[in-house]
Amino acid sequence: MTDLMVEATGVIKDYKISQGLFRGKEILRAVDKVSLSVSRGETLAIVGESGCGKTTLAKIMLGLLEPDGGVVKLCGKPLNEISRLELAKLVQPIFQDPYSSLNPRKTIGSIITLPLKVQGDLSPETWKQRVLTTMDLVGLPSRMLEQFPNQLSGGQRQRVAIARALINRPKIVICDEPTSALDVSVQSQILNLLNELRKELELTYVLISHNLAVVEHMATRVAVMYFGKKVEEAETEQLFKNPKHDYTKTLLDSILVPDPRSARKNN
Amino acid sequence: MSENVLDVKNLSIEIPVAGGMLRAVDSISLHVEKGETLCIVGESGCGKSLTSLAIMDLLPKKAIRKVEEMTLGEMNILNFSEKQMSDVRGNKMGMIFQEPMSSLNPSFTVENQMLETLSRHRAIVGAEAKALVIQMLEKVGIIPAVKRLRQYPHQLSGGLRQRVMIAMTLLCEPQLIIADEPTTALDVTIQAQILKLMKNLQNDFDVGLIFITHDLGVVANIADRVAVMYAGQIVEEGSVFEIFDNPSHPYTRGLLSCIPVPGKIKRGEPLGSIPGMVPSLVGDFSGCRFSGRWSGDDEQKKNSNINLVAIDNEENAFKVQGSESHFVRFCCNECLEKSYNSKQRKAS
Ligand SMILES: Nc1ncnc2c1ncn2[C@@H]1O[C@H](COP(=O)(O)OP(=O)(O)O)[C@@H](O)[C@H]1O
Ligand SMILES: Nc1ncnc2c1ncn2[C@@H]1O[C@H](COP(=O)(O)OP(=O)(O)O)[C@@H](O)[C@H]1O
Ligand code: SF4
Ligand SMILES: [Mg+2]
Ligand SMILES: [Mg+2]
Repeated sequence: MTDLMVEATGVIKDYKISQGLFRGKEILRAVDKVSLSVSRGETLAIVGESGCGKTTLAKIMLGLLEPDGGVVKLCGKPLNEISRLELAKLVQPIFQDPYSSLNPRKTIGSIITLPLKVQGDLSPETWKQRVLTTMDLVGLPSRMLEQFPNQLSGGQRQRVAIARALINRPKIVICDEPTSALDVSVQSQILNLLNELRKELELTYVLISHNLAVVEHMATRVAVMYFGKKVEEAETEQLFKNPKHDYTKTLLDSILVPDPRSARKNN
Repeated sequence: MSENVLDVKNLSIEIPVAGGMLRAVDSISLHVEKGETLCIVGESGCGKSLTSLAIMDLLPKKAIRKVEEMTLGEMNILNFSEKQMSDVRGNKMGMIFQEPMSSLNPSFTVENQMLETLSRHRAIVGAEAKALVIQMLEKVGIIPAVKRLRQYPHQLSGGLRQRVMIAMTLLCEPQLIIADEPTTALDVTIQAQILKLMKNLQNDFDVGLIFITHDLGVVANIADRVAVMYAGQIVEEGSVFEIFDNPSHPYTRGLLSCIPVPGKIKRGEPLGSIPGMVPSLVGDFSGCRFSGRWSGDDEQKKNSNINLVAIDNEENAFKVQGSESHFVRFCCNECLEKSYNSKQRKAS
């Protein structure tokens, strides 16, 4: 069995953009020959400015988008040879917006149960118990089982999204800006939770974030994307200490350290 | 002697909502000096935006504003009519919002909007106006400006749009600029540029700036003074150094402990947290705003290096001993007793 959980080689994704009535379509290369690998237990962060292709790459790794070139393997197996159901047990997403990613008409209980149903899980009598165990794991009180998303705070909704992602015990979790819409007090709760869960469930994370302080705190390795290309990748310490690419340097220079003295020194 | 460009005393805002009256802002006072940046920081929903809207007299219609005193420079604007306030907003008070598209007119070019602003608010037209527009665009780093004059707002990137917005605001030579999360929607690299720009321009133009943000990194970079808002109240205020060196309210301390700081906390070690959430302020709220939000750590630790001096006529409000600008306010005794022992508290 391999320890390479994610292996992307030369991944390409093109979008066709309409240029207006008589001008035909232009190709936008959103992801340009990106190769990445993530080993078991690692947290690989992907950083870069908005529009550089992070979400597109994440969707490809999740099997939600077909690449126009290249190969993605999960646990050694090419994505196109993995069935939908099998895939859902391997990799799960957590997205930025806990408001729009939860169905407002479903109770928290049924939102978290749905992946078990989809799997056609054979022992429905255990579902409720497993939902409760997972809710407990992510710090949701069981009384929320019958509540609806709009009755929950942003942080609680993100916990629901995490519970839903974990109910089938995936090996890989791809988090796309998981705390960007949250207050810092809630962000710290969610980051602490993600770290605990990683240890407890031996998860492997891909973490997309524009917040470099969050990346420094969470990631073991960092890949920097710029206009669709991966321009740099390094161990986290190495990258922060010794950035190579000009864009990485610019990115690191724009970290706003919450320390008024060092902030003023830099200006 | 420093001059205040803005003075607000005892501002409260109530909004009727389903379930009763939302006491969104509860008797806050603030001032901004000429050339100074006051940051208002706090989590979402604690009343920052409503506070800024109240100052500009742009609150939603159903909101009820109570305020004892409101002066802009020499002007008492407390009882200004709608017409008067609308003149003030264009002229003396500039506004920059998170989404500049909301203030820019999508069907006018950059040049036309800026010329219109100049002719309306400063009665400058023609060649003189055009020269001023170009000059201002270059001041905000849009170089060469000529290239952008004919463009429409939607043809500009978010960062450029915010620069145009800043240029428009400065054209009116305001005394006070209120910026509500102006860099929150921007990429971090662009955010850093815009912050630097605002800081430099503020020095050049000697204007007072209220900068609203939820990001303590931004605060550390741009603030001279900081007001920490929590659940509709200003719980702590002081110079940026006082707030970061000696946070004196458990909420400020909690906020600071939550943020990951490169090199400070080992990877994977838990960050500090503020458990629970902001209480609902609907109805006759008189309970503890911070109840259930103490982290285990904070409950153990007293703020041992800080002594407080009571302020006359203000219950549970204190000055941090040794400072004339650092204040902390509690809504009852309990938080206070948790964070400070009796020896640390002195009568005025
Ligand atoms: N469905 C789509 N159709 C056309 N273009 C798209 C689509 N999704 C994303 N793009 C474009 O692809 C590029 C990469 O987008 P995205 O992966 O969302 O970037 P990021 O997550 O880094 O902000 C952007 O230029 C974006 O506008
Ligand atoms: N138009 C409105 N109607 C009802 N409630 C409002 C309205 N605007 C703001 N609020 C409420 O007032 C409180 C303070 O809001 P706001 O000033 O926008 O907070 P902040 O800017 O600090 O995030 C929040 O609880 C918010 O839900
Ligand atoms: S001062 Fe009292 S009422 Fe206010 S938050 Fe603290 S304990 Fe609660
Ligand atoms: Mg994205
Ligand atoms: Mg706001």
